[in-house]
Amino acid sequence: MNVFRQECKMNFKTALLWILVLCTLGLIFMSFLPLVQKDMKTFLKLMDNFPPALKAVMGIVTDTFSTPLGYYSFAFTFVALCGAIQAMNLGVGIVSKETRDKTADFLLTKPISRTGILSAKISASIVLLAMTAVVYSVIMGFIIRSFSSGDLDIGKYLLVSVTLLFSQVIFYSIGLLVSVTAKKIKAVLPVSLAIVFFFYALSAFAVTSESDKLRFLTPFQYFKPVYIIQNGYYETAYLVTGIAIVIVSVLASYIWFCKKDVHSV
Amino acid sequence: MQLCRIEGGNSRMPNTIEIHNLTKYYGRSRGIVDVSFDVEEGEIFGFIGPNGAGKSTTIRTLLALIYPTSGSASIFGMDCIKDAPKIAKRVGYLPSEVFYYDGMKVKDLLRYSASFYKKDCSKRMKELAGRLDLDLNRKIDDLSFGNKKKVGIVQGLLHSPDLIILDEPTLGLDPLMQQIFFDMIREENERGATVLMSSHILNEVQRICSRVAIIKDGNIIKLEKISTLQETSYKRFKIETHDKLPADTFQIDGVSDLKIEDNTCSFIYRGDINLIVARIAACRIVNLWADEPDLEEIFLHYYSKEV
Repeated sequence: MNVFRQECKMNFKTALLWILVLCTLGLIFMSFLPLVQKDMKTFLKLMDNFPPALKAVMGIVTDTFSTPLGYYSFAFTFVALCGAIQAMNLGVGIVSKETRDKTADFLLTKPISRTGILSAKISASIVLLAMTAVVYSVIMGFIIRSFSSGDLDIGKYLLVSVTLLFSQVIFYSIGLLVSVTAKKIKAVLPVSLAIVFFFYALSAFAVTSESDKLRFLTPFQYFKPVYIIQNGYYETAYLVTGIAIVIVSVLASYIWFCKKDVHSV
Repeated sequence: MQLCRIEGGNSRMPNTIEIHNLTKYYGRSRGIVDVSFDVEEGEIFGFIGPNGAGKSTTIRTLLALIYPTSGSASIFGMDCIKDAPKIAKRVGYLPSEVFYYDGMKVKDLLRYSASFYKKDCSKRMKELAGRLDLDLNRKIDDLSFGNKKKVGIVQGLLHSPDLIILDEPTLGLDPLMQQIFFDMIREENERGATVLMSSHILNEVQRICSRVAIIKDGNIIKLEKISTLQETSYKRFKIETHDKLPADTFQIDGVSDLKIEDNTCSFIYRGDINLIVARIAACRIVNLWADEPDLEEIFLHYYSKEV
């Protein structure tokens, strides 16, 4: 419990900062909604000139674009991108920081098993990510409501927003595996940015390709807001893939972390 | 009365640390090879060797920070890898270089450390910090290397461990603090704690330990009582003389690494100090230095021949 508390404490401020970033990002996007609605025609024309790949990556669907929820699903892709960076940072950082700050000797010679340490770190991270998603969803909910004239489908809004947590957990588990298996990570941000943008680029590739199979390669494509809003549920195959990635990464992280030699500095 | 007989019989208390043929390779490079020794309960055991000889590798294996390639070790009769968390409850460890979480105050770190042992350590924390003159309210980032080391010492002793493992403990401590530190270790020992301490400074080990293991190139080359080691003292002499010295002045038994350059002459000496002093007294001396040679030098000129 003490490691869990300590990890929460150490990463709490960063999480607050990310919540602020996500909400601000959402707010900035939503504040353009009245403009979009007013000049819909010009906007649609402008959009038509966008390359289809760009539109697809950003989740722009021209017919629903001027509705609050439709517009939000477009804005949400950017929120999800930021959220992925937050989660990846947390995942890559949480174990590697012990080696980087050379605190591994301290923590790993305490009367707690390695499994116990990793469990505490993972639970603390999940709590922080869940907190991020909940606080974000509530704040963003109020923001969207203020932009819509009472016709907001709260259920669908939440269905979309909560995928922030799902994709974050997937990215987190990938980051965790990287952090546990890497010998030493000198700086977290470059590593996590590289991984996230790799998947983001893959995402652009996936949506422009003919086959849907490529979408399995990038968690950015597992929860498509447009699909969720249209159907009111998630695409099962991708949801299952996401869960599988999390389980495999976390299990592999446990195995690796328990076997790992912790070298002196 | 029956009971006493059984106790005095075959059943033997396990030594605090028992190491059997411990071997560790890092890939293909050597860490330690076939290291075996025991540390008895209640003793202060020194573990010396030049840098890179395998002291830290041995200690880190005992602490389950790294896993042995082959061989095994037990602490308090438990397997040091399998039962690591159980063993850790009764072990205090001071790493050679101490680093702690940034942004934490000294007392926060120490409280965090204490929270692992489920003991109330607040009184002892103040007491230990007081003796080392360590300010509990400072931020760890702002501390000097020596002060960080003090945090490490308090952290290692806080929970009154039964076994104290120290890796190069005096690194970064000034002589005065070293003295206080050794006093503290002695008191812990009198309280009943067993101590295993590694060092590359012979004289430091001589000051406090009762037995030593000497490690070189990953192998234990000698296991000695400190009293035996003390009989043979090593000194490095450097002499500047008025006149040029005849080459054979210091060619006596026990002299190694003899270098003569114009009017200066240097060598390491092992043996009866009186003999060498008599030789030196016969010269017209301009200047004289007598130092403790470092362990590398001793190994190079004495132990390397014995192995």
